[in-house]
Amino acid sequence: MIRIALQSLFFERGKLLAAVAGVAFAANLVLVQAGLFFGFQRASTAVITRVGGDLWVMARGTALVDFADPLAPGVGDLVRAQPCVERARAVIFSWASIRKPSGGIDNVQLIAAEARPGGALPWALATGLPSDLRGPMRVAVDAADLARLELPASAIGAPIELQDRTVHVGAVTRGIRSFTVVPYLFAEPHEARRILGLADGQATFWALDLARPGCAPAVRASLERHPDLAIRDRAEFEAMTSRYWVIGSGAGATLAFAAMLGFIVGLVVVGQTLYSLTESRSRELATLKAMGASGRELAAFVLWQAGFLALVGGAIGLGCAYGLKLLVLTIGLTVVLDGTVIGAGLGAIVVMCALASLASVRRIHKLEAAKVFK
Amino acid sequence: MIFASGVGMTYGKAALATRVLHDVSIAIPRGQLALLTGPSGSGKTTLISILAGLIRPTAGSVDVCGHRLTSLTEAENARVRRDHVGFVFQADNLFPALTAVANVAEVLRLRGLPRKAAGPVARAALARVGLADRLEHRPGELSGGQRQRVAVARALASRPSLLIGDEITSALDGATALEIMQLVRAFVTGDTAAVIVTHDHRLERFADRIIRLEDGRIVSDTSQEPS
Repeated sequence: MIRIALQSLFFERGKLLAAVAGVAFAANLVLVQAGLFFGFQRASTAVITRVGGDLWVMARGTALVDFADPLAPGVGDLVRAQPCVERARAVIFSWASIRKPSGGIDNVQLIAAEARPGGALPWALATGLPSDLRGPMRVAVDAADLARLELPASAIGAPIELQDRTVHVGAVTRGIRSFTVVPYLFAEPHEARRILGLADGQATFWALDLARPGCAPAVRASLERHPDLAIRDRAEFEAMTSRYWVIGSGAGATLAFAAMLGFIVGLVVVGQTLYSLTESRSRELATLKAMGASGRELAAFVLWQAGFLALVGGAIGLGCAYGLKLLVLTIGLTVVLDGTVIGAGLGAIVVMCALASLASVRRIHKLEAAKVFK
Repeated sequence: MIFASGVGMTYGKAALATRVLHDVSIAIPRGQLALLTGPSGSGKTTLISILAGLIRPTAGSVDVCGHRLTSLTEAENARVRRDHVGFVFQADNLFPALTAVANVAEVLRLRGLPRKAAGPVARAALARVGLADRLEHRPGELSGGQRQRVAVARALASRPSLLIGDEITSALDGATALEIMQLVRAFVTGDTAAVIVTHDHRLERFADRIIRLEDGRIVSDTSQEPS
């Protein structure tokens, strides 16, 4: 039946092209929207993920990494004194304002953290080295934000008026953008404190590396006795931050709606094509039924076609999604196309084609073999 | 080969009921080519559909090749058709996307023949109907008569015991119609039988028997020596 099914599909090239285009469109939309969703999630929590740590200490009432009051200077000593805390690393994450060369002002987020091994900030350096930020008043800026901050393309050494101080670009990153597209500026913790006017040892968060993960509840309980502190484990804090931005902003729902729209368009196009192919071959299929073909064998006519459309349309859609991923990267958006997204996206396409074939399978099931005598 | 006893068929119910067959009983033994004739609306198509096991009569019983079709499930009926019955229709009903040989071979595959065996058997069947040089042609590239020969080859390739045909020559010119009937006649031997519905009186000379239906009843049943 595979031969009958596929050759019948190829025989009607117009319908084949329409159906493949429908599946490819749906696959592309589902993959890109899902990829954007996970890209937004990653962007909103990239700094937390990069800094790492088992527990994060923050001011009570903090809901996400982007909006937090600085902690009191003594909190560093308090957290280091906890048994089982192997290392406590200061994380500074603060809004700051810059005055651009043209005179306008803009907001940025100034980020600094004491690095864990293999987790230096910033990552993805396009120009410069992490050590270039150790000089006085040096910051790293992302290549995608140079124009917005009115910095030259060769930005190394360029001055920026940040919090009424003059700092200089020490390094340029590529692809590190916030969910809100507010520019991230990275600095060494010592320099960030100077720029923001924080005291020595003061931080917005403390990332705690524990000697044993099992002692997290005890450390947490001990620190939470302090009325000004809240403690979150890292995954929990990532989830809170990503939920705030991706779900709370409505971006997640918008992406899901677009993906669903693609799914529905694909469903209708493929369903219509399969039904039309089945209808146009109903007499021949009824002939096979008269000759003794079983309902399952006849259903294979539609299912092979649906499978073929899912395979070819899905592959084309995936190729297009990779193309779009590269395209939107140029405007600073990340489309995550990892194994999970591709698996789930193509799984959705297989489900879509299976659903699209239902009407045709039903039509075949209801075929009257006696029709061939009429 | 075929034994039908007291077959009746009524479509619809109560006041809307239409009785199209009345107590039809026929027996067609092996080695016989029977023509089923009669005017339009006489019940020929309904009767042949019942004899083929495609629809179930509302009364009576039908036995084909030793199987009581009226007692079998739909799946069991399909199995009998698959194993014992070949069909040729007024329209060729060939898949336009498939070549002549593929149209025949795919039906053989459905009938359980392995892929490797189906090709040679299909080619041999097409050669028997004079289409050895048209194996790779699609239906759109064949004449009406050639398409109908492919349909005959498809029906006969699996060597069924019974051939059932419905107006198989009505769309063909006189010479081609006679060629097709010669193929059917050649099929009917001591082990096989054929029942053909037709309006075409030119075919009568090929038949062993001519059964005439009118208003759902057999009005004549004549045996003859085919010429």
